[in-house]
Amino acid sequence: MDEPLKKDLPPRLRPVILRRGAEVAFLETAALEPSSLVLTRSAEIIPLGSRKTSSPTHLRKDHSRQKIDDHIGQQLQAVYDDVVSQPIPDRFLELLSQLGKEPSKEEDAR
Amino acid sequence: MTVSPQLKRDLISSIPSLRAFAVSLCGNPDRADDLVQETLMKAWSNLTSFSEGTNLAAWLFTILRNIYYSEYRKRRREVPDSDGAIAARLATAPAQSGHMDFLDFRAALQKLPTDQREALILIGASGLSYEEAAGVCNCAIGTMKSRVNRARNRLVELLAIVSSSDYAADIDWQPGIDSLIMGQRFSRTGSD
Repeated sequence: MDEPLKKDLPPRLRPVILRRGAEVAFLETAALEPSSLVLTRSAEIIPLGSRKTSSPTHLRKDHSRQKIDDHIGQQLQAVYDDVVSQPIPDRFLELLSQLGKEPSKEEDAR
Repeated sequence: MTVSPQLKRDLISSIPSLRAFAVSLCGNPDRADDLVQETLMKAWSNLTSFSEGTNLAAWLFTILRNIYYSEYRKRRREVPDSDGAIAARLATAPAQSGHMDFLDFRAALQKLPTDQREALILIGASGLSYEEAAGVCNCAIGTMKSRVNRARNRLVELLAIVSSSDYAADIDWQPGIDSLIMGQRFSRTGSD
């Protein structure tokens, strides 16, 4: 863990990026735990434990999952609210007032 | 049939969320509004079967969803145009970060299996309870919960892939992404 990673990454180590601008995390498919490595924008590879910067945007299991879920929740709400906040198209208001005037056929049939 | 002014007002005020649900279900705003139109007509002629005091939006969602699926079964061989349209926009869109995020997320949402997408929208955005959402989708509450969880896990995978292709230019090698990695990792971590 203290040793910086060699350049030749094992083929199973693949970078996964959680969001734009975040560091790259390497997760090893074969291992149960992701190897805790961070790739900075300058493509410098640093084991997480030896990071000196004070911005802990690296992957931490529960913490990062919570952040991702929050992020998903916000995006989801934004996509939904984007439509909800639109004015109601006239066609629907016209439809309802039209329906209000005409007796419902299904209703008569009952 | 006389529809009380209150019920009519409630119907009208349900339209925005009905549209939002329809868009998220079918991914196409024009088709969504056709679905809403059909739903309102069907709802109107069946208003006697709505028990006042229960959640009107949930009742309307149920109708809309039934229309969507019966139509979907007819059109099964058609590719939903949302996927293609959004993917095409993504491929050519300039890197305007904020807006891209939004499109990325919508595209990812549309790639979810429909049962997972509707579960996520109903629970995560529409404000329905698990019980109400399970009623809309005609499934057990436990099923609804597991669909929401699987939807979240799948979104994490999809968003990771989309972002990494943006990022590749910065780090001068094309990362080989195995979409399963994130899913495996997070399903092991898996807690809400």
